[in-house]
Amino acid sequence: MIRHILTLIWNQRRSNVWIFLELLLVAAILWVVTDALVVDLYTYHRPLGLDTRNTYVVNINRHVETADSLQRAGTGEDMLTLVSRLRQCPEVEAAGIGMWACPYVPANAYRVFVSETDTTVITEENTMSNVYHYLIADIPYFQVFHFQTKQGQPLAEELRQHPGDLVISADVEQKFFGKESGQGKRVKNDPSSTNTYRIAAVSSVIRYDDFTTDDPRLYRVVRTDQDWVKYMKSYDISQFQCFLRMKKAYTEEEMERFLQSQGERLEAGNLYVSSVQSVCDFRDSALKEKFDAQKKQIALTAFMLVNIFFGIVGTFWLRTQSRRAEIGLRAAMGASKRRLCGQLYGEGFWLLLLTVPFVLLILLNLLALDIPDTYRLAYTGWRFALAFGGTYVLLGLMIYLGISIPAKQILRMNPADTLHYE
Amino acid sequence: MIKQYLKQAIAMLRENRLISAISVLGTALSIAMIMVVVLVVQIQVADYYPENKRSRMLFVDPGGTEIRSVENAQNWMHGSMSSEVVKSCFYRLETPEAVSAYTVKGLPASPMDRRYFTLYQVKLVDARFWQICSFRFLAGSAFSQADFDSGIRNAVISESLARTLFGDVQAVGKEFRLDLTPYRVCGVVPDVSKAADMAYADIWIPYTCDADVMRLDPEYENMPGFLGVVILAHDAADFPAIRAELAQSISQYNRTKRDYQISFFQNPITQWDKARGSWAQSFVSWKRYVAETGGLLLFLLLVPALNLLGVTHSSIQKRQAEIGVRKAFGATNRVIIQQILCENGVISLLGGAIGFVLSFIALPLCKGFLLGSSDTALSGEMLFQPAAFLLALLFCLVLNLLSAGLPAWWITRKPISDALKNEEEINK
Repeated sequence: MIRHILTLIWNQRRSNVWIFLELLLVAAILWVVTDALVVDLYTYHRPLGLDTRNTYVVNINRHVETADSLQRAGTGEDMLTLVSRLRQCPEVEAAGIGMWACPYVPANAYRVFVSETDTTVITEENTMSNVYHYLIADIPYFQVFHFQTKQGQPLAEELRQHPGDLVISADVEQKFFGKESGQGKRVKNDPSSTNTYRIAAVSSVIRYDDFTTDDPRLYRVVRTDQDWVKYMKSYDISQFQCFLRMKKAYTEEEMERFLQSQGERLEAGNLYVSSVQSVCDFRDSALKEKFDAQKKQIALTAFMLVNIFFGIVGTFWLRTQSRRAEIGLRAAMGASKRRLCGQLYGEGFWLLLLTVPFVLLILLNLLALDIPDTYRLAYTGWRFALAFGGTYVLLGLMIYLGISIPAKQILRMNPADTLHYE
Repeated sequence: MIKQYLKQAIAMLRENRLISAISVLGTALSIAMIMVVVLVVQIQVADYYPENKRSRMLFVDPGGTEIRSVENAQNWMHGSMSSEVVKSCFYRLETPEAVSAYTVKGLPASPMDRRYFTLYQVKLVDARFWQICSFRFLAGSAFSQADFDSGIRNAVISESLARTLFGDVQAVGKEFRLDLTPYRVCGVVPDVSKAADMAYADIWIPYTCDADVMRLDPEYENMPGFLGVVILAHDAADFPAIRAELAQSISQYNRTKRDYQISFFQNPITQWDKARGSWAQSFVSWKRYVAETGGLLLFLLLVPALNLLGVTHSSIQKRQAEIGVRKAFGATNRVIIQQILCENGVISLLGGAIGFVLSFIALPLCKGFLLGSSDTALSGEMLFQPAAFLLALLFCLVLNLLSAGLPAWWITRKPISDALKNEEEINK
């Protein structure tokens, strides 16, 4: 049977070559697109390590521009007053302060860290592999974004119970201490330094955004108001941001109304609350480019599939028409209509199957050139199965749909009529 | 003759309706996708309100400045320029018609008696900006050069912001707060489409009003700041002359500095450079762009062409006998190829027309992911440009040539006797 179908395909090579070339071209491109989508979907559905729903950034400004030294005196205290007032509002679940720590907003803050026992000398070559994202935040900040420990407990609670200066993410812990727990251990900025920091807690793996892979990071935990004031004396106030988590979802208007109802409470000394932005807006703009690219890929995929459908309908419709005599003869010789249709489908699917070796060849070349994204997801068997299977299932579906139209025509044929064509 | 071809083509369209429908729809889909790609590019480069003079503009966008230490080449910063650089390098240019500097900020705007906390896009500009962009004023007018020079807090606001703040477009003379600073409305303009990226904002104020923008940083010899520049040439042909004059003016400025030198990457760039994906710090060459976008267009043409090839091939085979007869009576190959292309052209043009209309329906539906923002307003000016019609026609012809040219050539090469026989299995 298979041999028979292959012979049929070969005998009609002149009309098959175009649809075969189209299937090959589309299968190769569809595989690349599906593979990219598999990687994106996998990455998107991994835990992010923090939760930005119902969270807001409060931008705080100065009333009067004054000389630097004057500006900074008392500013820290004013900032802390504003934040603690917001924290007391019944609508607010948590309010924290962070430095360079707004999710989805790029901040170029990186530092070298090594474990206390590490004696590797940091040179220019190995700096990059010992550099980690470094952020500064207080305990309520971890409450605002629902950070969790490696075990899934609220991180803020853990921090309140355990002393220490740093939170490290699970991937940093693994790099520093292997399988051992990092909690309570110490790290330093330089192998030769004696100044060490105690790790208060280990968070789950945290990612920069939904489409990127793990971002190994350390948070410096600011525990007291005095510590904040110290920071705020050495950096401009614009470097610090207040983050809010509201108890329920607010619309833009509701949020405006909530802030307006606070009135004078949003001013303290030389500082005032200037504007409030939803962190979800930062998320939307950070992810937009990726989502747009995906939608374009999907549009392109739809275009390819519709074309395959048209191509198969056209080719096989003309074929059944021109082969009426043959089909009639087969019917007269006792072939059931189901068998006749089955033969037509067989031709279509075999045509598709014949593209597989060529597509695999293309795939191997792409892998050899390291073009597929293996950074976010290693090239494993299931990834191959999903992308490759997805491609061929979609194409097979289109071929099935495309052939079902001429197949219906066969079902309607009367063998006596078709034999007339002989 | 053409009439004869047309008749024949229509008869063929009628004969096999399913195949005709597939051919026309396939062509339509391909042309629609291609035209969407073309329209997206067109929206990025065409002249329309309020950027009516885009083809004469050159840009050094904010972010397109590099300041590098003379002593240590590793010590550099990338960012924007200060008002001093604008004054010494750009304002003094004589070749262009006008030069304007601008930057963008997000600030909350509120009426005097209440506080709003939502951010609006504020463009900090100079008085020349109003000469370079062609704004239509619903009320009042732009702020003057004198206002700009003395930093008077006059603002132009968009129609929708005027309604939010004052409930009315007639807002000239009224006051509002930008963050906490009071400004007076001097003009109201219709909302600007986000597609006109350089002109777009909710509020336009003189940059001399903003202390951050005006502040000079002596540590880097007064070079870094927040500003970008747009240059309007008298004619696009002046671009090389402007670049030359600018280069001279920059080197003259750099000679007055000791520790740092300023440069502007590949800037100033044109609107076309931007449409290709260039931005302040990275330049996309024509070569790279043609390879990428051309590849996409070719793919969008090739897939349906392969489809149509199969179909035309079969239909021409069916007509072997007819063509054999025509050849026997003296028709040349040229005439036959011409006939096949013409007949197939009817399908291409029909599909092309449908696709062209489809693209104008698809673009507004998909603008969210094609144009950067779903609230990008589209206007007739952006979409209906003669070039788009011509391009659609061109792509139809290419598609026709791809899908019918090969079978036509093949059939004419067949010996007359074979063609006349037409006995062999048609699909072989």
